[in-house]
Amino acid sequence: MTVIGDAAIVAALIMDIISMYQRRGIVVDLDSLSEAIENEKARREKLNKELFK
Amino acid sequence: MKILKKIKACIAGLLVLGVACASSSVLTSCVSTETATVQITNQTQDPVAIAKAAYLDALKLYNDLGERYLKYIPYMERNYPQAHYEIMYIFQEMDKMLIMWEGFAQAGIIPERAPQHLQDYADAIIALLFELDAALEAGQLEI
Repeated sequence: MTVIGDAAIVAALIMDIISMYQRRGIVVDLDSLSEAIENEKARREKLNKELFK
Repeated sequence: MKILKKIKACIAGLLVLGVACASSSVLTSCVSTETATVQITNQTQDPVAIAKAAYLDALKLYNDLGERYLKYIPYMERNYPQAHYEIMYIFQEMDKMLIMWEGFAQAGIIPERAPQHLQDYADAIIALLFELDAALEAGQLEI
């Protein structure tokens, strides 16, 4: 892969992360707070299995 | 030559327009979403609920960042193992922080400066990637 190609892939990752910040919002209220936490905890467990395998 | 100048001016105009549209879209989408902490703080003064909301924001930041990085791991591991190692170290530190944070959240406490520390970790990952990107653009393969 060329240097330009590599730069494009890293730039794509950066753009991906920046776009994440734009969509970071989560709609939550007092009734759904505990459920939202449980969902994110389950998501983290699944992520960690992939991330640290 | 005049035609060439006009074409160049048109391209420059389109670029400026593109950047302006992208910027306004970023600003609009930024203000349209609020963190869980802000939303819950607007609904109650209960410290436990607010601490849980802050923990939820922390979990979400970690998950969003981790899931995005996940798909680039094979590429980073193969081509830039040092940068990948540093990024993975940061993820481990963020994960440790979340384990500690959960207990505090149940007790209605937001660990001192924890939200800022977690954000600093996320920023460090992005800074590492920017550094890598700049090095690649400059033709230096090592960072």
